[in-house]
Amino acid sequence: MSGTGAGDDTGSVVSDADATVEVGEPLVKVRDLKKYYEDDGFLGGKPVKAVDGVSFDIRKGETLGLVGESGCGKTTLGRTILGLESATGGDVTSNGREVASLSGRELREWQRDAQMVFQDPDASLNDRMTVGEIVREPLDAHDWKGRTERKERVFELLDLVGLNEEHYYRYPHQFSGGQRQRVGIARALALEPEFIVLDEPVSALDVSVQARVINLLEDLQAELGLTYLFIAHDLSVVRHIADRVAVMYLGDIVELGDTEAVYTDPAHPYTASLLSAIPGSHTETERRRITLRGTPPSPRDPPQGCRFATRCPAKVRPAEFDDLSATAWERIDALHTVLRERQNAESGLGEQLKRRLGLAANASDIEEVVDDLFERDGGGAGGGPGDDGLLTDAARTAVEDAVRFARQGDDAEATAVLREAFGSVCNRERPEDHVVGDDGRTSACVRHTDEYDEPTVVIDRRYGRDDD
Amino acid sequence: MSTITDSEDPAAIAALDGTESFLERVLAYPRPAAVWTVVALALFALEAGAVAHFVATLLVDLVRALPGTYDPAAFSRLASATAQVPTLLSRETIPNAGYWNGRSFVGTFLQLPPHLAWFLRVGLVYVYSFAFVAWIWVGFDRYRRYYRAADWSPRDDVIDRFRNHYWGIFGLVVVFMFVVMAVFAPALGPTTVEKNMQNPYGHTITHWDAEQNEPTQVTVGQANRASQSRGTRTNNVAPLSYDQFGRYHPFGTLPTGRDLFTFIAAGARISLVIGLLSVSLSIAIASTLALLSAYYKGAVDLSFVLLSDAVMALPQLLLLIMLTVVLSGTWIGNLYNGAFVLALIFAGTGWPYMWRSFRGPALQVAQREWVDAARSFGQRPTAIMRKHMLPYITGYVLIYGSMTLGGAIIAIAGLSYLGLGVNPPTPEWGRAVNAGQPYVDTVSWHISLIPGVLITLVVTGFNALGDGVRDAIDPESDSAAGEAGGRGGGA
Repeated sequence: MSGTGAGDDTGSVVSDADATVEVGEPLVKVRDLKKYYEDDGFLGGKPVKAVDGVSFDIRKGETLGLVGESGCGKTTLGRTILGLESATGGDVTSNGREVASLSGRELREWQRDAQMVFQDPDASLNDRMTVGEIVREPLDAHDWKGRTERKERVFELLDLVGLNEEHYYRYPHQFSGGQRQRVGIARALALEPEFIVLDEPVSALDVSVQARVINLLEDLQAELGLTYLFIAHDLSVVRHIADRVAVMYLGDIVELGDTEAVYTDPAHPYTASLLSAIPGSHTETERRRITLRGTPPSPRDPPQGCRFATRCPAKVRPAEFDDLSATAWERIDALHTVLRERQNAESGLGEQLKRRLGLAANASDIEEVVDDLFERDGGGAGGGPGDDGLLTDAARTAVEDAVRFARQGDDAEATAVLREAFGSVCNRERPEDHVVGDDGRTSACVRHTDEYDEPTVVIDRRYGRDDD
Repeated sequence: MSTITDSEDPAAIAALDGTESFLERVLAYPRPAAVWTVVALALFALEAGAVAHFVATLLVDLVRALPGTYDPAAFSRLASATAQVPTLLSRETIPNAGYWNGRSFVGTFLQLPPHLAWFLRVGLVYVYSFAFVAWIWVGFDRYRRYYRAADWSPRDDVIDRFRNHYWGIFGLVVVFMFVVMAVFAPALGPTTVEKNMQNPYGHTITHWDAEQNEPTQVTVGQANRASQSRGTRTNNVAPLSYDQFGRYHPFGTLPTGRDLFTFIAAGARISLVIGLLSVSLSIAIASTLALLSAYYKGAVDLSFVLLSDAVMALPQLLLLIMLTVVLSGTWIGNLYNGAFVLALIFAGTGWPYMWRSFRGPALQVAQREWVDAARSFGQRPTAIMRKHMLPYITGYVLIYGSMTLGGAIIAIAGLSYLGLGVNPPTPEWGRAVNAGQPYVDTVSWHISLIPGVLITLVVTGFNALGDGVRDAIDPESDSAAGEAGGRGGGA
């Protein structure tokens, strides 16, 4: 049951590369894939870096889970791999075919080999067509055999996904969410693909239905030898279905490895934080819950260096500030985030003009923030952060400098000051993938080098029970 | 929801499992289909001669219109042969000719007064038309009940909602009556355009001359001159009255003495043809461009925006005047008495407004995930636009089409009121309004008022139909397309 079904393609030559990939070998290779969305705005602006240099393999016959917070670029990655979005850079190859540059017969072949199941079965099925027409459409689009064979094939597919033949003439409206998703799966299977991107296929369904659809997907994989890229934000679903899992943050894959290994012993600080967010999970890992502060930064302007540095619980800190308390770091990071956000805030033309002219745009905001963060007593405009012992002298000087710039409306300079003072290798270098463990797992964190302590060790030290 | 499994349905239908084709289902239970077909054929047979004659004359016109020297003789023979086929609703079957010789009616239908004969004919035409439509509805209902494999479709809901929309049904009835008037125009009029307007001195009528106490022949032209409506008591033929030659005038006469009802019925045909032609051309252009805009976006969309802005910047009225002058006398300018050119100009200048209305919904539907899904398995762009986008703008097409059609009718009337547009003496409603203008405050008020009221009624009907269709298709968008109704004036 592999590949395009060579016999179906009457008269046309079938690619030699077809079906040469053994189970376990890479079926789809993604190398340094980038997808930027350019801004059409008048003032130009930076592109949104939805996927920013991602490399991994999807092995034949496996289920690769892709997890991450909303907006981290999971779906874009899946769509770019399929060729639904044109990649900005890098490439996707499968069976020796370069997906981005395919055209004509080869493109048609790829469109048969790779399919997608969409998140929302309400939205992905045209509700003016009957289920039969919907499932038959890929066959029609590829001129698959004759009319009667197509109808037979649709009946076969409906049966395969657990629907009945009499559903052929019903409309999507008449089905429950789970049944609709089965229709979507039947449509994806119509052309006998070998690779399917499942874009959060169960997240729109009732929990009671999710399990059944997941089981169906697993059965189909076993029966048809399918390869899945399973995109989800529900970590427990991924743990259930995926053989390997890739963790994505802000357009980048931070950790990739065998599901069980990643789940039981996360290597990357982000993975650790994410897993710790699963209710009940911290009892299993015997670790305190690590709260991820704030929201991910805008992909339009990702942080320099490590993407996760702004929220990282294991961020490398400069030696001279070693004696700062956890609370102090939390506050400083918060101030940093506020300043960054101010800097990148979409501001109107008037605001921009004011800033250019050096007029303080919204100085009062920053005063309030600093007051809140450092409990500064209202000692007039010149008053520095409070002397409650939270900050050391050096730290306080840096914070004061930053606040001064911010007060003048120069958020860029203020951010730079903070980065200069409290930044580290995490803010300067984009970490490379490091192999961790003995099963080829990779994790992109500088702490995997010998120079630094392992992330988990640091997290335990900073957030572990003894630190309580 | 499920009508197939209703207990009253015969076992043959209940036994089907829902996977058979339409033909198999008909064969399994052929009675409703057979009965329907027999009655439909019987209804059609009543008018078969007229249909055949219409097709034959169309062929003759087509051959004549083609720039070439084909001999239409063969088709002309066919046309005259088909004219001989008797049809129930022709003026020959129920004539309203004849006269009163002082004691009884001579040569009238069943010895009835001519006005009763005319009413009978008109009544029959409308009864027949409504029966025909009702029978088509019965057919659809039977199809839905017995033969459609799907026991429910989204269109059923649309139809159900429309059936409860009384304003929309009012519109539908008005529009339908207007269409029937246009289609049966030759049979409806008390006389014909050919006899009464185009060649009045080539035809004669027999009337009873009271002074000489005997039937007398007179040409229609002479009779017309003596039955003018010119605003004085002695010089007026009011609605629902006979003139002195015993001719019945349901709507009275024009200042020229011609029959106003015949004029209006024939004018309905012209209005409908121009309206339908221009609106369907506009729709074709507008929806194609809207789909392309929405699917490809970017440069394609921008170029259409520029193009439509350019077209919208053209002064439509000036263009109309100019082109009618330039094209008058050419073969295209003479097609259908100049109506064809008018329709082309309306379509050519009217599509940008429609395109703008379709573009929004098209852009919306292009964002839907099923369009993406279709792209993901390699569906061709044309098929995506046709199957996944077009059905979602059809509602807007119907709404704007219906409302624009009303606008086109106003525009055509407005143009002929100004003395432009359709070449005289071809009847056109606007020209009747114009002709009656000097007499609005006299006894001859009917000349302007009747066509004026009819224009208003028909345009209201088209707008009401559009409203009904909109509410039926999308019950939530109560006023989403409301601004379309305002556009219309045209000229």
